[in-house]
Amino acid sequence: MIPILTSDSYRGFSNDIHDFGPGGTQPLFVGRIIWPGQTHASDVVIKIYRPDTCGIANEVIGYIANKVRRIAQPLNAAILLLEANHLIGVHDSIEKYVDQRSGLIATWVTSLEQNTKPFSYIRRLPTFSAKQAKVFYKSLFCKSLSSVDHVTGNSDRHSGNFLYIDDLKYLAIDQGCVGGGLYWHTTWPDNRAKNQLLEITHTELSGSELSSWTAEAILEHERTQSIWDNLKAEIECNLKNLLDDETCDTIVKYMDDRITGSTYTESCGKLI
Amino acid sequence: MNLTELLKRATPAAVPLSAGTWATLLIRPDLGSQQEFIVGAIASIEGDDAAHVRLIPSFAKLSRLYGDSTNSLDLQALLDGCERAIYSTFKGNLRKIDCGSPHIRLNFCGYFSADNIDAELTQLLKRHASVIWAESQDRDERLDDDWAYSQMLSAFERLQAPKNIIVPHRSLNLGSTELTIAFDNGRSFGSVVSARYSNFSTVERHIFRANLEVTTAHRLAHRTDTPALFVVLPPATSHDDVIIRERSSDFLAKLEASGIQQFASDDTFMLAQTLAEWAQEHA
Repeated sequence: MIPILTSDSYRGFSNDIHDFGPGGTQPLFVGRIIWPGQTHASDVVIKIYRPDTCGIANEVIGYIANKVRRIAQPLNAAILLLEANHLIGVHDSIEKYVDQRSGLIATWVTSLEQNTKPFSYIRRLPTFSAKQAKVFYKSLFCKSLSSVDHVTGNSDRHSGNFLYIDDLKYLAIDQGCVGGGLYWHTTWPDNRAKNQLLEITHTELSGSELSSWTAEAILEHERTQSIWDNLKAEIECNLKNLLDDETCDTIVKYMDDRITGSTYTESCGKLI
Repeated sequence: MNLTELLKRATPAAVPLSAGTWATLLIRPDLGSQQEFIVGAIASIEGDDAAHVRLIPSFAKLSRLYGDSTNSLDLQALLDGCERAIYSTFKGNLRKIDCGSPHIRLNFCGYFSADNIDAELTQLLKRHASVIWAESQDRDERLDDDWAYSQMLSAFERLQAPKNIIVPHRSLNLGSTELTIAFDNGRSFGSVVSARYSNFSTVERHIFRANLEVTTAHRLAHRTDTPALFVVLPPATSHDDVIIRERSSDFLAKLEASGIQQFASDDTFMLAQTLAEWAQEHA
């Protein structure tokens, strides 16, 4: 289960993260929390979501999907509920993030992996050399992540939402736009959600490279299909109180539809 | 999203004993440059009238970055003054603090909570000022041979042992030669050395020099017994200290083979007891 933490676990602000990718507008900073079972505070990345969005639920879905599918991502994650006074000085207009019913602010917290020793410097795809980019496209990470993003409808896998660590190691972060965005719960999940990783591969790979890539990606998708029942059960369990029953059924049904049959294959083909 | 219901499922955690706000303290050694360094952390705790200030333990690394333009003593003096200004202008609000120098400014960092304020501030500062953090530098200044000698003397006094073995001012004149010798029991000379310097090379140099002085004194005074060195070792509390202890002990064992007596301990009281026995053995 994704742990739910209260302000008692929060030890304070450490530093702003100014660069949160194209179009990023949410407050994002490094803070310190005490993880359950630990006694010393650890650095974490804290992302604040507005209460009228389903961003936290999306993060939970994406994190669990990646975890079950064994896609590299930050080691720990949690939902942290804070009071507004704990975020004094972090953001100028924090009021819009306060849930009026509870007076709390919901944040998504993941362990800060950049400061492991030696440092893992965060780099976007445009900084990759031609050789590094080739290695990335050939990686299992790239193929399995595109499969999971397809199933969950994650439309925000831009080049800032996977971290380059070295030629064979990457980290997936930020699953806030599962279902096609932050507001699918008010309308309906987007069936035409963009799969940005697929788009990138179609732009960057040559015809023969792409054929080979697609064949391997489809095999990876079959592996995602094979674990879907377990994955679905874990997601449903974790979404309690994050989404009402009906909305939870909606997103699970949406993912059910996207994982079964040939939608991923079609998605790969449509882009060719 | 029902946060009230979600809160009921939250993992319980102990409430922190202290809460408030905190800020980092930045120094800009060159006012014409934008280069700044975090050198301190300050916390304002709810219900506490005094500011909690923690500065980096030494400015040695920072001063080295600037070469001849500054030195650690000047930086220390500046920060000591600013610390006084911070305490006097703090009115329970970090934003009201006047650091008293254009070289120093606060960067407000928001919420802070801890069970042990000083420990948490130290951890935070060490995290934020890691590049210029130089913890062991204090030892060079405060835990030197003079410190070891004064510790030995005060422990020796507590033992109520005869004081006639103490050489006044550690100054012994033999002919035209002035030597630094701490003890004389009539048949042998002894010296006190600190092994609590930050680098083993410094420890080695001090032991070697003390050894040279006592052996010279023995030769000039025609003493037949072996001279003695009393060495105050660092406690084995950190990896660096363990290494210095081991290397000091190895070095002293080699010196002992060359014809001196060596007594080494991290406990000055035990070392003083050994000194009292050394005094009686040769009385």
